[in-house]
Amino acid sequence: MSDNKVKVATCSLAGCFGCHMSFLDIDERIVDLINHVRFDRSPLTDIKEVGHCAIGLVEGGLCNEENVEVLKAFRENCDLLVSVGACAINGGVPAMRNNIPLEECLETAYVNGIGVVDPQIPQHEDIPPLLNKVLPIHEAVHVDYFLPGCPPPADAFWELLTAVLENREPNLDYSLRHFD
Amino acid sequence: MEKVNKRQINWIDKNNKMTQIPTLLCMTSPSVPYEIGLTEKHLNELEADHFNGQLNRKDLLQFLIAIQQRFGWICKDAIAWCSHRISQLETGISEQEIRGIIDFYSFLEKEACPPLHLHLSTNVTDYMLGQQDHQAYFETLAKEYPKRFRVTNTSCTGLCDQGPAALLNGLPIPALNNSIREAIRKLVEEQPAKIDVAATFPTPQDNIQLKDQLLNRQLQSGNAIKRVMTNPAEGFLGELNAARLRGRGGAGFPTGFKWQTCADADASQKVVVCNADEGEPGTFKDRVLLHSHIQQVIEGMTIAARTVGASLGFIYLRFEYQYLLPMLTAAIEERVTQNLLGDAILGEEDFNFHLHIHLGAGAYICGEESALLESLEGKRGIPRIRPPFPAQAGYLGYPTIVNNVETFCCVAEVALTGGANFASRQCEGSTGTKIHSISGDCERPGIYELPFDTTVEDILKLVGAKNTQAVQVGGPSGKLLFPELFHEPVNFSHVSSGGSFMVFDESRDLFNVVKNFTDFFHHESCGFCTPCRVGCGVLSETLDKFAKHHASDDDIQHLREMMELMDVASHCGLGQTAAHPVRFLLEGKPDFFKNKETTDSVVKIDIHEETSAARELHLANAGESHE
Ligand SMILES: Cc1cc2nc3c(=O)[nH]c(=O)nc-3n(C[C@H](O)[C@H](O)[C@H](O)COP(=O)(O)O)c2cc1C
Ligand code: SF4
Ligand code: SF4
Repeated sequence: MSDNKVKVATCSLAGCFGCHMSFLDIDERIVDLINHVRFDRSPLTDIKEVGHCAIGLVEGGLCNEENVEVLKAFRENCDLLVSVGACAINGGVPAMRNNIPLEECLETAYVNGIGVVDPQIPQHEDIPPLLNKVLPIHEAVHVDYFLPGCPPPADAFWELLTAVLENREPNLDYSLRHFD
Repeated sequence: MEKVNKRQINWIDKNNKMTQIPTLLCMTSPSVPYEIGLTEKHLNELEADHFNGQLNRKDLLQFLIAIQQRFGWICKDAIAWCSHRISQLETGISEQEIRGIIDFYSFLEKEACPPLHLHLSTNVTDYMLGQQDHQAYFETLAKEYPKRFRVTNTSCTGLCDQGPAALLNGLPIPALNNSIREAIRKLVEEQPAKIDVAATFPTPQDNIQLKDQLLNRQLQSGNAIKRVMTNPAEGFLGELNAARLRGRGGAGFPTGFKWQTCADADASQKVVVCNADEGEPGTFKDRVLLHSHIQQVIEGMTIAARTVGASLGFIYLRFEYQYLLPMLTAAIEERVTQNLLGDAILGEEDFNFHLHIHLGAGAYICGEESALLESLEGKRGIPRIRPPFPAQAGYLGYPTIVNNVETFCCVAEVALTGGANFASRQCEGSTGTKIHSISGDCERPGIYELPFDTTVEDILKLVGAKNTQAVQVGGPSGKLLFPELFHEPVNFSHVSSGGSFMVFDESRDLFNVVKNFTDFFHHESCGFCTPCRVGCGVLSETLDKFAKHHASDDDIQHLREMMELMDVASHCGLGQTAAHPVRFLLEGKPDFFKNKETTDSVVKIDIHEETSAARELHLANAGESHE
């Protein structure tokens, strides 16, 4: 399936999918977008492996080993890698665990927590090991653009994508990067 | 008193007089090993003996240090007791606030401490002399006897020419070696009730290698003051200006100007402070001056008091130098009996000067003059917003001059031989001589007093340094110089220095040197402002990435941005200079960073290391997937 459309991949690492939801808030403009881009690996397509893409949008930070693997594949396959939202940029809410030892965190959630049934720390080869600390993605790979916000407004996504399609530098209006 | 800064007048009593300050706040000598069982009785006694029976807010730090030094830590009950006692005055203090003070100073402990506590110095010169080895040894010892012995680290102890150095319950032990550590092990094993540290271990040496006017001077106490007293008080300002004396503490501020400001201020009380905090790593000349030239220091302070009209003085002595306390106390007492201190000095009416010693408790930032004043007032040492400058409103709001130990020695010299004479030895406007503390890779480290036209190269020859790769002049906040600049003279117009001079030969990895300095700033940042508090951490962690070969070009870019931000946005000199070591190396020898960049072009973290906690909990396969 070769076509001239620009390929875009997206993923959510340690994020809440809020950034993806905000992206979808471009509403009917998505129809225009689809005329110009093709989505590669993304929760929107359910493609599992990322192929070569022009743009990779990464929501969420790194909290486990699998996140790092996905990010690595994105970096290797995407010409432009974009760090999307507070979690990808700073670690965000998941990084609140960074000041608490991992063991304590897990015990609070799975052993000592209120209403926990059959208390035990989950352990299985299919569960990717957690990182010592939640990291922003630029700690691990080179990032080309940062879209700030929790989540970034739909118009910010729109500006980013249209700028890349039009081959110019994206430029976010003040209102798109000011959140008071 | 209208001019007094509002924020600081809390502790001035209603009669507008200084509340009485006990002669010496810190007379309790450290106890080795620490005594056990602090009780209310001890606290009452301490208060009665040294604090006039009423603990004041401004005495709090000294009181806490006294407890620390006798009992090794400050328990919850002691904190509650202090809070209760002080809260009986109109200016109360909560327990939380006291805990905040304890947390601020690195030698104060809130947790129970075993009877012997060894602090190993972490200056780069200590490491160059094999500190790591001793660290490992003592950590093993501490594991063997956790209830009897603890080992932790501390910033430069001012014994760089006789390292690796340590403090045992606050008292210095220079030149650690195998027999010293065996001796310490023996103490831990045998648990004697009393240990005379000075008699058991070597004591710090002056190690003066080259003397000039200041170090040759053997002052007959009172002679400098007597010469000054032939003129009216302000007369000495003229001499100072003629001498063109500039401060020796690092910043090189014109002393005459500072004193003039203070003399001009209209206030019921003024204060003279000697900055003996000597925290800049690699500096140890103030220690030697205090030890062997204390008459010049006190004489300089007394002259300052007369000139600006101050009757109260403090020597702010860093915790690491408390072993000098008995000697300094004796010197002060002797001068009181000679009528060179106290009221109506040498019969001159209104010439009163009462000198006290305050101890620091382990905080480099307290060398910064406004932080020092906060600390003198018994608070956390957070630098003040200026203006008002200390000379306008300093200790408790009174106009205060703060000068370095060596500056006061110069003052005594100016008084003895005249300003014009002092200025006759000059180089490009820097007058007099400068005392350097030299350490690192050279044959003859120690104290050197040198004229201001001495170049870096001259110094290196003098001290017997070979194959020198770089020199750090002025301490970590100074400059890292490479051979291209060795022809520069060390003076205020070229390479300015507070007296630290550390030599690194070609065998050294300068990256580790810079990392050591950056970690120092990270540890010593007072935490008040974000650019410095966070910035120091970011620098330190980014350097860690280089050390582990996980960094890339991006990280160099991050370093540059952070350095820029810290320079322009930090509140005080610490944050403004904390990035300088990184900057000098990055600009001078970028290869030290380049050759540590990652070889993995994609992922810059080590997944094995990043999952170490999960592996410890057996939640990950022992690194199988990523080896
Ligand atoms: C972070 C920092 C630490 C300082 N440490 C010291 C010190 O240990 N000793 C010292 O004399 N001056 C130190 N200073 C300089 C003092 O703020 C002040 O300029 C000096 O004591 C003035 O004395 P001088 O004019 O005689 O040099 C430090 C400054 C900063 C910013
Ligand atoms: S940035 Fe906000 S919206 Fe996006 S993943 Fe994080 S929490 Fe969710
Ligand atoms: S620059 Fe650093 S040391 Fe100075 S006030 Fe700010 S945090 Fe404190």
